[in-house]
Amino acid sequence: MSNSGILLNRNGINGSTSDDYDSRIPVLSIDMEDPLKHADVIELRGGTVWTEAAGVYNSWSEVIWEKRHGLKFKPKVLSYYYVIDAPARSATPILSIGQYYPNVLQAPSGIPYGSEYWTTEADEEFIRIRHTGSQFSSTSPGFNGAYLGLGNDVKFRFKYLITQSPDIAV
Amino acid sequence: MAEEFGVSISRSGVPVDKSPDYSKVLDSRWRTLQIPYESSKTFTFPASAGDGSWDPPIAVFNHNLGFFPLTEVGTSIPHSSPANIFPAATYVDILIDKSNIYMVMNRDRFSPQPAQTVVIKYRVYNIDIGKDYQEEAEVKLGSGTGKSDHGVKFATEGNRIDDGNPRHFSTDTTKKQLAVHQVKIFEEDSFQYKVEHNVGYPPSYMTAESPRRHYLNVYFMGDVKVEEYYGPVGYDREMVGPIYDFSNFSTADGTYLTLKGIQSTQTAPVVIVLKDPLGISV
Repeated sequence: MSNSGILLNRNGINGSTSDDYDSRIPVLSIDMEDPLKHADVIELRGGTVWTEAAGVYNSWSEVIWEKRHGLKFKPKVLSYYYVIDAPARSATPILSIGQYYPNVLQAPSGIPYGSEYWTTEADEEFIRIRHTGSQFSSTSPGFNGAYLGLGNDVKFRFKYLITQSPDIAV
Repeated sequence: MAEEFGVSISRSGVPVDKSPDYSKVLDSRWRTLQIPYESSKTFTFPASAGDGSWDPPIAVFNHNLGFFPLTEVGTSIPHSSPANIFPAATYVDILIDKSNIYMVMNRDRFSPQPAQTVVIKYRVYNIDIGKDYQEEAEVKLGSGTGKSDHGVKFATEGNRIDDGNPRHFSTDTTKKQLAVHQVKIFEEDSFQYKVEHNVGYPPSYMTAESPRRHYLNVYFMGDVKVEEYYGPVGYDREMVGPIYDFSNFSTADGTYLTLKGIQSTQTAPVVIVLKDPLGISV
């Protein structure tokens, strides 16, 4: 904490309360000056359209977007996915158009076919979007379909805020 | 907004009285995500005999704020969340009351267990999630992106004002401070939660676990409601959980935010609505 700063009471309140504005206490904040752009909204497509034959187990992972943040630590990132377009298939993972997804864009499993999701990652240099998919396999009658992934057939908007505070995952 | 006085700083070239609220880098009348406490600790749970008894809870940190603070944690073994219906065999519950952050070890109580060390990082925000709160919206849609050249900087103790490390400032108004528009508590578990925020745009948000009595089973025997406490001694009081990300999705407009897909049999969320639009970059 700083020794110096500005303290402002709420109207009509004398003495310190937790509602005071107190410039000595750090605040979760975003650098707006940074040329590396720590807040933005971009449009993307989902990556590789993975396919797999029926009865085969497989899983995939790829980075579809990354951006250097320029901080000297792994930052806490707030992110939101918004689905602009997605195929209306019944036998694959399904996404609903017009929905917001915080931090993870998860296509519910098209059981028995597989699942697919997009996650926001950060390390000491980059933030990234990782696209992950898996084909479930079963030999039970009626539960054994070929996998046709979503990938680039999905179009989404990605909003991110790279904060000035470190991620606290252990 | 009730307060008539304070400090308000807009971006360069945007008059304060014409600045959208989400664009301001600082407005002292608003509650921001202030971080009064942030640290890391290591604890060792002793070996247990497997006689069925619970591990005694550990008091991680005495925040002493007098309310249920919004809290973020990271732990070296999984910690539970309302979305985690099938948690790992060994995990910790993180519970927060008006004075402390606690950690409760959950492991097989009926077979001997070795000593276990857990690292926990925590960040406590100066936001009370134990009661509803809502600002009046002052949004003026339109201009307001870009940087702010003017304002104030306060270096933390022992650091210089020309220090480039962003973590060495308590306040730096060249940065945008994330402000809270609303805290909305839901008490009943439901398949969807609708927040009337009236902020004027689809807002960014966070979620945590609403106040409840943990380790309390509630069920009916015929018409009789039974409340049965089953946890470690002393943990039958009301607490909140930390910020959690769980598989949810939402629809949002300028008036409502509706959360769906929260598959929890345990609790309902607290929704923290931020003064930050989902659809545009500010």
